[in-house]
Amino acid sequence: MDYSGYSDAELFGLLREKKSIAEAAFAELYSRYATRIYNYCRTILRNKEDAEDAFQETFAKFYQSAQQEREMTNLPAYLLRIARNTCLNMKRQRRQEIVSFDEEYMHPTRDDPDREEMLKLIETAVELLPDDLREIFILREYQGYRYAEIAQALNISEEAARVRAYRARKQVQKILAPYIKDFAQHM
Amino acid sequence: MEKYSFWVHLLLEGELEPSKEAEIFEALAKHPELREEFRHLVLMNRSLREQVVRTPPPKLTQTVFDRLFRGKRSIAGSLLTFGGGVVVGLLLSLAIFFAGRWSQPSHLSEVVATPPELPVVEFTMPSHYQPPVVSDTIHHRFPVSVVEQGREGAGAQEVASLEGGDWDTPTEVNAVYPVSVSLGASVALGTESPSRPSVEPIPQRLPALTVGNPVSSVPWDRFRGEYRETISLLSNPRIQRVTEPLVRQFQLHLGYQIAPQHIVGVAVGREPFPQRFYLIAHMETEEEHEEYDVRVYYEQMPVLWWAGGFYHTQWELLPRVAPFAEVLVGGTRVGPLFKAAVGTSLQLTDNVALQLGVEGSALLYQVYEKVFATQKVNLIYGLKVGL
Repeated sequence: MDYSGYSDAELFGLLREKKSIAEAAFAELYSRYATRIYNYCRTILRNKEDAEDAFQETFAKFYQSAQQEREMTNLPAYLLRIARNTCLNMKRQRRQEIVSFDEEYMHPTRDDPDREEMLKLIETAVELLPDDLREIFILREYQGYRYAEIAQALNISEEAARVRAYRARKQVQKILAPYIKDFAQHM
Repeated sequence: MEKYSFWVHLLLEGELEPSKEAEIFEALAKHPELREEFRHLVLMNRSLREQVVRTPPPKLTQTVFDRLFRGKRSIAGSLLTFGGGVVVGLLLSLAIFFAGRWSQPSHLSEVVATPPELPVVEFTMPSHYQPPVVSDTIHHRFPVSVVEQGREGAGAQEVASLEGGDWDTPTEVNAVYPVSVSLGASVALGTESPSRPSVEPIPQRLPALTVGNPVSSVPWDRFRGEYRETISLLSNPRIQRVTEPLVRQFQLHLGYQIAPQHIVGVAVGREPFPQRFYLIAHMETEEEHEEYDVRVYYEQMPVLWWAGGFYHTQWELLPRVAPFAEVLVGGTRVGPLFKAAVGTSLQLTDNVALQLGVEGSALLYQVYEKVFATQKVNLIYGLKVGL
């Protein structure tokens, strides 16, 4: 059955139906948001195995929560909130552990070595940001979430999300100022 | 300046209000440091847009779907769940079975005020002592003590004494077997004895069943139909002298899924219920006019139709195998009926499942002023179909 024409809210409602319908509706939602959530988990957790665990857990919690009657107004933000809580819990649990960083994350393969270096620099700068700014930078710049979705996921106003994203970018810019000037001349 | 810096960011994100565009372009033309910030931001955005977008690996996707919709197959786990369901069902059914024993006199020795020598007694039972008809179709009903005299009846049987004595199974007087002609169509086809005794109607106790108002957008796929057959395993009272009638014992359930694991609905069924009840008769010897009371016992195995409302819940702990529990409150023509069942359902397809389990039943019925109970444990098996 093709559910591509259905809205998020309609699909969310179908998750309470019998298994065959629920699975088809879930598959449609998965195709819409899995990549975003996967990238979010990878970016936040930096470790592939952890990210995959968090990703699985996110969709499992999402499906379980869909079994209860609730009105869904902003599904991507809701899904993001689940992913965020899951990742933060996982990070908290593993704070004491030695975390091996994902090689692919740290050194993604790209054709353009300059841009690759630029991205690495941005990633390094993002790591230096305070938690609240880093998170919003990742959501906005890496994941492409809309401000409304970010606001709902982080439980802040849309305006606050905009201002926070602006501050994060400014900080990254400041950190990278000497490098960016150099890059700007070459690119 | 800070304001324009913020606006530059909004401009690049396409979120700057059109009314402010002229002002920001003017500021960009005026301030070189703002233009530099703009260039740096463009550079950063371009790099970020070209970041590698990772899609979830197919194996991970498969794991998510397996976890949520199929799970891992485990034969041992399935068997364990099935066995657990059956054991719990048996325990529950036995609990129901034994809980009601108190209401059934277990033996004829409980006769009150038994006269010293009863066998010589002859008496005429007053009409109001005639056992009432308490079933749709009577099978093998007969009194099991004292003498009924002056009364023709299918159930009449003379016995030698209140305790012990020789018993003849009265097959010749009430060999009435309803015939079940086909699966699910075993309506009360049995004929009743032509010499059926006078009937004292028992008040109808079956509560009115209410069905939801039909609406145009009925979610039909939430409805579940189920056909079950039952086999009697245990009963209280155990009636020694009455053979269980050869009728097809079946149940039809129509349920509505109110939540993934919860179904409510209505059910009808038909099955025999062993009944053993007594009446107190006031007696008087002819010669000495000695007065005494005697308890007259009756046994019968009526086949009763019942109907009721049920709640069914199940847990999909393993793929295709789901233990379930169910309670039903309903009624028959003779009194209220309570059932509880547990078992396991095996999903054959998305819409069809086999069910196997045990159920305990308790039926209350009234004979004149007294209330009696009968309990049964049945094996149930059936087919559940989603619409």
